[in-house]
Amino acid sequence: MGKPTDLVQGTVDLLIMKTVALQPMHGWAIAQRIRQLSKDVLLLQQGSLYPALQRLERQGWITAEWGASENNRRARFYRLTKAGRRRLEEERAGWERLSGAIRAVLRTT
Amino acid sequence: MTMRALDRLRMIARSWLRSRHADDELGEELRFHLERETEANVAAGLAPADARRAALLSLGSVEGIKEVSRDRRPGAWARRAGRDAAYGARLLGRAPAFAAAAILIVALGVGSVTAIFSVVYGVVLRPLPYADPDRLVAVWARAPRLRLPRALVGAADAREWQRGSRAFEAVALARPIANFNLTGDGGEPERLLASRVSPRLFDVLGVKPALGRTFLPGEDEAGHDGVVLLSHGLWKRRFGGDASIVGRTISLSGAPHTVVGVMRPDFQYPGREFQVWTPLTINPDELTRRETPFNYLAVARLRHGVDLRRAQSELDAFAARLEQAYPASNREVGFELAPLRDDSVRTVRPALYVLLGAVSCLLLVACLNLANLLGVRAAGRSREFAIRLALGASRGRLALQALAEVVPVLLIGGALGVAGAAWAVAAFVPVAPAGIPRLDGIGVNLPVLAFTTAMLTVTGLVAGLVPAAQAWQSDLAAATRESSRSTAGGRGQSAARDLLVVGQIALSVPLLVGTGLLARSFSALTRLDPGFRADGVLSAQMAIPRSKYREDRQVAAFCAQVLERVSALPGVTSAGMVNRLPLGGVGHVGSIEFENVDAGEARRPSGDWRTVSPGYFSTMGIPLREGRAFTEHDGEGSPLVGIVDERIARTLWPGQSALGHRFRIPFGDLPWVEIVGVVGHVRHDALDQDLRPQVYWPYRQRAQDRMVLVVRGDDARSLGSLVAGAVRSVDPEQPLYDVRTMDEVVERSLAQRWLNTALLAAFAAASLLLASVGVYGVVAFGVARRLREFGIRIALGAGRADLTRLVLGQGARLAAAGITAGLAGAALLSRAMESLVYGVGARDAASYALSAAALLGAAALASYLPARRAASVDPAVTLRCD
Repeated sequence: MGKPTDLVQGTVDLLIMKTVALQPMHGWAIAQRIRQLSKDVLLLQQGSLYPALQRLERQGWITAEWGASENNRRARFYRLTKAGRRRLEEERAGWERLSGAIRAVLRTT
Repeated sequence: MTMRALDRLRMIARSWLRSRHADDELGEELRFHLERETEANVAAGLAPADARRAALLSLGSVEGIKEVSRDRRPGAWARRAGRDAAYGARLLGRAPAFAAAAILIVALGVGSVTAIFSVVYGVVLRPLPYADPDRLVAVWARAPRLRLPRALVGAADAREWQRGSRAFEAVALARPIANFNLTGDGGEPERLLASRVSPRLFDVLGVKPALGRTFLPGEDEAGHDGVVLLSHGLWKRRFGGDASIVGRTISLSGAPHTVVGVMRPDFQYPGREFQVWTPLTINPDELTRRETPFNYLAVARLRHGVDLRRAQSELDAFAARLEQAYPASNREVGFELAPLRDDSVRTVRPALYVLLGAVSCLLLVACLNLANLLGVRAAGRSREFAIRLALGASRGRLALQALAEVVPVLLIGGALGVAGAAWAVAAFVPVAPAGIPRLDGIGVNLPVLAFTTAMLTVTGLVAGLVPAAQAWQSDLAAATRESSRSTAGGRGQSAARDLLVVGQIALSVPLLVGTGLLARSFSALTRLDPGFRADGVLSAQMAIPRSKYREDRQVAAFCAQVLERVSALPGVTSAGMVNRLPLGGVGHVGSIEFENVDAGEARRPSGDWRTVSPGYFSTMGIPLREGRAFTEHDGEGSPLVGIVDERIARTLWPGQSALGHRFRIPFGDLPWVEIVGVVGHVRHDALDQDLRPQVYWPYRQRAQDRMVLVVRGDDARSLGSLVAGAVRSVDPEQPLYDVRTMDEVVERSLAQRWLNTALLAAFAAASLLLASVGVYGVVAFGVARRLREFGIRIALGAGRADLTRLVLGQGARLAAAGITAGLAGAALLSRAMESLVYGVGARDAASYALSAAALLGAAALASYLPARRAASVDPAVTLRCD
């Protein structure tokens, strides 16, 4: 396993939205899921996770409510809103375009 | 404020309330995260303690996350500003001398400007207490032929507009001054100042009485006019605020009047000293136009949508038509409109605006001074700023913080200033000169506070700009390179500081020049010969009721009796009477015709009409130039005689005797009177105004019902009660009023001028002091910075006198630059002051020279201490230290 890659600013939002799009999740689980799905490459620092969650919530793309966690404790579960779903699509399309473009450039050299 | 801004405010407020709650929630969320992480680590095989430690490490600083989250919530800037202000307050607490100085400067500037503005607002700007006051106008007559630039209007003319005007909704007239003696209600007889008014007046102004009713149409007809309205003040004082007064009958100068109502406290038309109102009955003779008596104040309400200009052009048309129809009475008579509000404050407005301008200069000086002070402090903190910059603070953040630290200074200083202004205004109102109208509305009220807040904000921005700019420019490398001794900042900062001081001096120039002009005017006026000798004379006014003394003969007999009793009093040297007292504030003016004098401008000059007793001239010390004074034999049946002043004698009969010539009032068949004497000229209206010559009649040949008793005695001041007793012994129902020594009368006529001068002088002194402190600060700072250089100079052989000169020169250069820059402002102010200046030109060289000298002197004095320090540097010590 190589050194975990630092996440580019902005991609954090995209990853979080994608993760909670599947099902409501609490903060710790979001971090775990991103780490698992990226096979330990993407390590979401908690210092950026929670501010990002709050920012997304303020912008109305995700909402949060308190619920019981898998080990029966109070936890805040985040869920994607309708506006968030639209936003996720836009962001993903944008990311695909960007990474596709970068890939194309890298291949030619 | 827009809805959007309101919404934003509400959101910030809510966020403040929720902030703590949000913190708690985030705390719980992070705790949960920590537990799950720890569990996961344990599951991965770590010992519980290590598992928790690893979790803590991976989570990072909980407080840091909270901080970041807090900073991103709405309204974070407001919380930050609050924190900065609190930090600023703590810093201030650690530097009490600096804090006290800064707060004092703010309090001085803001307090002065608040006090003056509260007077300006209360007197000039505050809306009149009438319905829809913007549509109310005063109408004046203009009759240059009679040397009356602004005259009361005639009833016949007013009737024309009342009938034919499209611009006016309604016109009301008022005869401003009538005197009544209130008697027979059990109290002391008292003279009341009354105004006779059209019943319509109250509708025109749109005012309602506090009790009862106002006048009814038809009550202005003779026989129905025995009704009276009381002022609120009189009702409270004289009738104990008894509501049953309405409907009762009181005796005014012997005639019964039914009280129909009591006005509200704020009803003060035509002036604040009026106590009763009675209906105005117009003598049918006045409508005949044989002669136009300019007798009435006119107030009109404009129709909706009619502006001043349209109304004025309509009045001009009226004037032209009337001049054609009645050339005898209306030749060269025009009419002039003025908004009623401006009209009542016309006389005091220029002075108030000059004072407001002056106090604004003072506030600016205070601003610059504060800026300088804050700049020096910020320079002292340049290392702190540099370090914080290095630790990652943004420049904007540092600048904002430097600004926020000014806030506690502004708040405390502003509060002190407002409290001081409120106190000063409350102390001023009861002792204010009588000539200032609308005084009772003065106070530190909401509009004034709004103005003060605006001024505070401006002060904060101007003064805060310097430290904020310095914080913004913080430079890590420079701050650490410069030693602690020379943290004064670079060349740019010291140039900025010089500029601030030059600004303070420049702004002080107009204040000093203005003070010089007013002070020199005042001293010119007090040295002026008013034409009479004031010292040792007591004056007392009487309104002799015609209802009691119907015939002129009876009035004269009453006066003669009073004079006889008063002259016999112990301590009285002489006594006399005149119908209008010099400088007493009320005139009696009309045209005079001289026999066999060429027609033209001089034929019917307008003059002061005076009726006097024989003893008047000697009592007042008015010199007799030629002929004789009146005697008690100049009465009924003896030849009609008159006296003129030397100005008439000189103008009409230069080089000859005026005696034997004749004059008369050019009205009907009034008889000629022969000039038997010439007396000195007297300034009647005011010391700084000398408009008309004077003619005198003896009181037995032309009796007047309003007379002023003048008494010369060894101790004039103490004669008051004796004189009142003598008058009572003649008629127990005859009150005296305005009992004052002539010295007091002269003083009162100068009171407003004195006040202007004193206030301007105080502002000038304050700004001079501030500017001197500014010069001292800059020069002392420069010396402290260059101490080592001075040490080296001395070591190299420079004389101590050279160093003193060097430092003094720096102060002088600052002063010279400031004075040069300030001359333009001074020219502006002295142009605005032209109407306030007397006996010296508005470009009076002495005032300018004295101001420049005062500033240069102050700057030299302020640089002297630092210069001494520079000259006493011990080279050895200076070179060793640091």
